Amino acid sequence: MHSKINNERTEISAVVGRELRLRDILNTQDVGPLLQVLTSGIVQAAAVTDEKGSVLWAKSSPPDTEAVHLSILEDIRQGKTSGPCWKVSPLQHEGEVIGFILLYFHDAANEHFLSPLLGTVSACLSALILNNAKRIMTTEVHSALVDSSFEELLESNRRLSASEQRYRELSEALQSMVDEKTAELKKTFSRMLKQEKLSSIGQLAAGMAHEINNPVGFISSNLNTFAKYMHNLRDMLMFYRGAQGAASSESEPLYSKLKIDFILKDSIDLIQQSSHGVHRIKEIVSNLKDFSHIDDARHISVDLSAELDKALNVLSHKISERSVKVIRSYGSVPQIEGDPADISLAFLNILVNALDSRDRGLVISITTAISGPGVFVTISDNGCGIPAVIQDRIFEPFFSTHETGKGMGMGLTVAYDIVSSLGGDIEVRSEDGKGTAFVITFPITKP
Amino acid sequence: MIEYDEQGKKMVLKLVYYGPAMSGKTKNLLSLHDLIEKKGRGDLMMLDTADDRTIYFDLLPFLIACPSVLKIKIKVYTVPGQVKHDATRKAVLSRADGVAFIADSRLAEMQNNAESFENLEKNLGFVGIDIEKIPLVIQFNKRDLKDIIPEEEVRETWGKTDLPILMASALFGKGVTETFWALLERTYEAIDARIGLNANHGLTRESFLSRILSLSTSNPKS
Repeated sequence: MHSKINNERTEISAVVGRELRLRDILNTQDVGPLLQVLTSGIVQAAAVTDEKGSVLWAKSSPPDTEAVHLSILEDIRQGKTSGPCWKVSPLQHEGEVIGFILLYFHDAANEHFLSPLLGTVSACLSALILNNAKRIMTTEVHSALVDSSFEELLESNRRLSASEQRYRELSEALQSMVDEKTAELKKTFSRMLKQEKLSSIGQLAAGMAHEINNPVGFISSNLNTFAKYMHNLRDMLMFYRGAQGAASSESEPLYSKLKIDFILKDSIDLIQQSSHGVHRIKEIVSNLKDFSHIDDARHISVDLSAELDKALNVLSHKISERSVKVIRSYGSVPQIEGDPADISLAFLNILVNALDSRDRGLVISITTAISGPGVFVTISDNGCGIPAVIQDRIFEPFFSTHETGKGMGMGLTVAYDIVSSLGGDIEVRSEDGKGTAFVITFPITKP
Repeated sequence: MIEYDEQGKKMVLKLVYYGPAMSGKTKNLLSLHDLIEKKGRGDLMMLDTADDRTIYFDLLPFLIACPSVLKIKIKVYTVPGQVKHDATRKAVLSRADGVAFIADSRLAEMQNNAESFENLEKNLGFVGIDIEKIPLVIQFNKRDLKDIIPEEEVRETWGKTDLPILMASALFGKGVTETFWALLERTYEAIDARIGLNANHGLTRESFLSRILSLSTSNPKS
């Protein structure tokens, strides 16, 4: 039954009312000095026993007589000896006898001292017992309270941790939401900027094309007419010269002096060259129109090679001025679905980046190929390369290695945006000082 | 039950005087101490540490020797009534064998009584004791004061339960032994049902009660 009760109650640590025995209440520090004092006077032996008479503490005088005294004590306990040489007094706690104090003296003549002495010692030990018991009970409850407060603290700490965790998760979610919105804003902004840029390029191109086409048109037409006039004039001159007779004519020295033969021949050449020039102007205007795709509908099938060529055409002035060697190795790749204006703008921006990578001896090679699920366009240069530390940042809006005022840092951002909006990707492979390759992937459009 | 050692033939029971602050729990124990003969009881130990009021309860021990070798020790405790001393109340309440709930009869104290009783229910649950099964008596103390709840009203409210309801004025020693008697009766029945105090130890209910409540000759009631 006892053990059963214990098992039932194990979960409760704080129990007031534990039974205390004398050994629990008193200790050697309390009893020792008292016995010491007693045995240095008229008493030869003093002992404190538990409620069953087992000796807990004992002192003898002189010390080597302890064994003898203990054996006498044992005899008394078993009722074998008694007499005036012994005095015994019970010690009580909570109304119960929990031990005894025993005094032994050799000289029976001292007996009358012994009763008051025992009374004093007994009172002294009783006071000790009461105080110690109170202290023990107080300490027990106190530890129980501290334990339970500690449990409560642990519990509240656990709850705090949980709520902190919740708030941390919330704040992380908030952070990622902020990041998401920021990215979205950046994207929108760069797209807006790109459209702005594109539309201004387009407007400029349209305006220029219109303004240039008119004069170029009449120059071209006039040159054609002028060539016909020149032919007529030459034929007429030749006719007169033939009728007069070549050798006798007075006009011959003047003819020679004025180098009319040469003029007649060169005029035709000049007109032809001018016509070529005008034709070239027409071509440039047409390229510009093509590039800005003012006339094109959005999202059509796009020939990547053609768009690369258009971008190169737009940059031809820069390319020839800096004697850049351009190696084109276009593979046979399928057309992809997209906005041709966007795609050539993406190529243009990457090419501009490549053109800025080196002053002299720049070689740009462009390859297109089909591989697995995509079309790859690789634009590589032998320029200065992109340091590894900034490779992650080159597609960020407004990230630029140029000094402020020279370029906005939007070129590659716009290129990346265009390509990713078509489901593609741009990968950068660069070695510092050796060159950079942009590998642009477009997904193949399903037929 | 604090301890039951069949070999050593000793049983230690715990009775607890529960109730709101200042309802007269300690006064009950002081009166019991004065009313009951010194023989068979220990002294009232008051643990009231001046600098730490969280540890604060009283203990009055009683001793009964059965016709068999069994010795029964009954420790009667009070709990601190103040709300903040809940941990001490739980520690005192754990392993209790019986509870006397000491209510303050003053009308102004009804709310405190109700709260304290709720607290008792909660804490009994906490220490794993079924309030339906533990011996429990209710005392309405301070009947000597004015502005108190009428007895009829108390009986009407509590009559639905089969709990003994006692009116008392601990300050004047009235109703104190009756409350203790009622608690002991119920406790005896509960313990007897569990371990057979009469059958195994020859301790009848009457002798159990009379051995404790051998009232002092100075009892003002006699």
